[in-house]
Amino acid sequence: MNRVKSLAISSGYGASSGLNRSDSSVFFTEEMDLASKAGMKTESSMDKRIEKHNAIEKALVILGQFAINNQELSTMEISKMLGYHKATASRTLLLLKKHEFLEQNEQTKKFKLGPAIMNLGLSINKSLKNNLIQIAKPYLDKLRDTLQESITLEVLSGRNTLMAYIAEGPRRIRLGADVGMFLPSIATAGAKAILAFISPDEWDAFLGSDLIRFTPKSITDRKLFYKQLERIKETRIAFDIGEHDPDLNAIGSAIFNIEGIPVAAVVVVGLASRIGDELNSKEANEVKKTAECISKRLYHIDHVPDSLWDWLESINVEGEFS
Amino acid sequence: MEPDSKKHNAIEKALTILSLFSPYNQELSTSEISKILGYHKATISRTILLLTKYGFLEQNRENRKFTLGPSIAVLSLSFNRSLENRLTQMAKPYLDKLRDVIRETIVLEVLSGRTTVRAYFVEGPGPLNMTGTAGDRLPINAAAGAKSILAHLDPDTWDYYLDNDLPQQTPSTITDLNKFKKQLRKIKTEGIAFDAGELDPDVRAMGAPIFDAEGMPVAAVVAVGLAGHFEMHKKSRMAVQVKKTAKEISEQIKKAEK
Repeated sequence: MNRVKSLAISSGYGASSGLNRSDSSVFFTEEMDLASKAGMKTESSMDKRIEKHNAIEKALVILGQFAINNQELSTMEISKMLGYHKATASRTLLLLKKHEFLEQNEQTKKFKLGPAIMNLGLSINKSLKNNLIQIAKPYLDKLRDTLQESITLEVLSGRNTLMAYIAEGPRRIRLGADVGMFLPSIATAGAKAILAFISPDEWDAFLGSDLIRFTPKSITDRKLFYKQLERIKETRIAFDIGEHDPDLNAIGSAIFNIEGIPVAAVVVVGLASRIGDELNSKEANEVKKTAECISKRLYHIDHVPDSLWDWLESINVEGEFS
Repeated sequence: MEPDSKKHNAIEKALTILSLFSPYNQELSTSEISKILGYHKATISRTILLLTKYGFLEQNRENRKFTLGPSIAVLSLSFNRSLENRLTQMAKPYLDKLRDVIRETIVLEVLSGRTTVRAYFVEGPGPLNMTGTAGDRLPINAAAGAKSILAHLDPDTWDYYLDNDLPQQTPSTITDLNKFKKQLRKIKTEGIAFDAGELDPDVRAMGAPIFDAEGMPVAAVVAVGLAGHFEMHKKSRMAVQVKKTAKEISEQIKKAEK
């Protein structure tokens, strides 16, 4: 058992001095590989030296092994991956099963995530959904301070764009919009930013019969509009260049939830003389960055990570608000 | 709450604390948790510290209360995806077709732990529709799908799924264990289970089981709708269609496993 422990520690810290290669080294390499797959390698704030783990930590680390694709794992596999004694792993797995955090395939005796996880999932998803504005507000206010322009949080509501929150800019000319206001358009910067990430099969249904002409610059040709959406999907930045008011431009970027669904958009709105249409402007970059921060806060995953713990560190969003 | 929750060991206490966070209880303070569970405040603080460290809980900086954290979000995503992936993808085209044929809401119920979960939901074309979404959990003694699955499991395992007190959902819910077991036997011979307003007095449902490659009932096809639309008979047109769809999906699973 000591052997396994020292191995996991060394793979955790990249030091090999602790390795005791007394017997089969083939067995060792395999275990090392498993231990590093299990996410034992990244160490910073979280001390995962397993010999120090108490009962609760072991239970949580075991649960974490099921995070990435809810693979079925046997007691033996868990024990090998984490370097826990088989008896400990078995006892912990049975407690997790008793409380329905895991369930056991009666035939293979392997474990997978259970209904308690789903219940808690319903709870957290509901809370994130209901608290979107509260969660986003500090990021939006900060963006307003950085850009010195008005910032809005926009969501799609049928064929309208709804202003869910406005961080009023400091300039003398202010936005003539209020929170809760509907813009009767699916072509605003916010709506476009969101729509681009909805399946193209559904675009027709969202658009309805016709695109409305608000100004000479409004895009009313469906094909042209769809082309623009495809471009937005690549850049994650949507522009409104005088398409709703000849004096106003806007830049938007979508916010995603954990399932990758675009739930809202961060938008900067300002006078055409101040907000341009370049992808690389400070405004475009900051809007995109803020949308990414809020997405992270909603636990949006860009790439499926190899371990829950690596991912946890990666979402540690800029300290300040998280 | 379990009466013996004070006797729990450290792991069980941690899991019991996590389980308190329901959709209606999204934020809890240390003292609230202590009040509900009767654990010592110091124990709770120590446990919460670990739960927070591993991302299972998170502290709201403003009011110092705790909410569920990112690890739970990822675990549940993983749980939902695996539910969707396996069975749902395979069953979807059959369920959509059934909806078009009988013009009612169709649900795929999947056995998970001691209850069933709605893994897929396709709304009927009528103006009134059943509420509910994928992910809902259903009581095993009232839902048509759950009953049809249970009926085809080994009767020796029934007691694992059923408590002595079956929860009463409506006046029609069967709460007597022996009576319920008798109904399960009937369902097994008829191949279809009925929900005669046992979840909601205005709603009827009927379900037939889907078997995996080893012949274990793992899920059910269920038609749900208003009482007036349903002929609660094993030979009704709807019952025949539901049974046929369940059989087709079971055969598809068997083929895929080969």
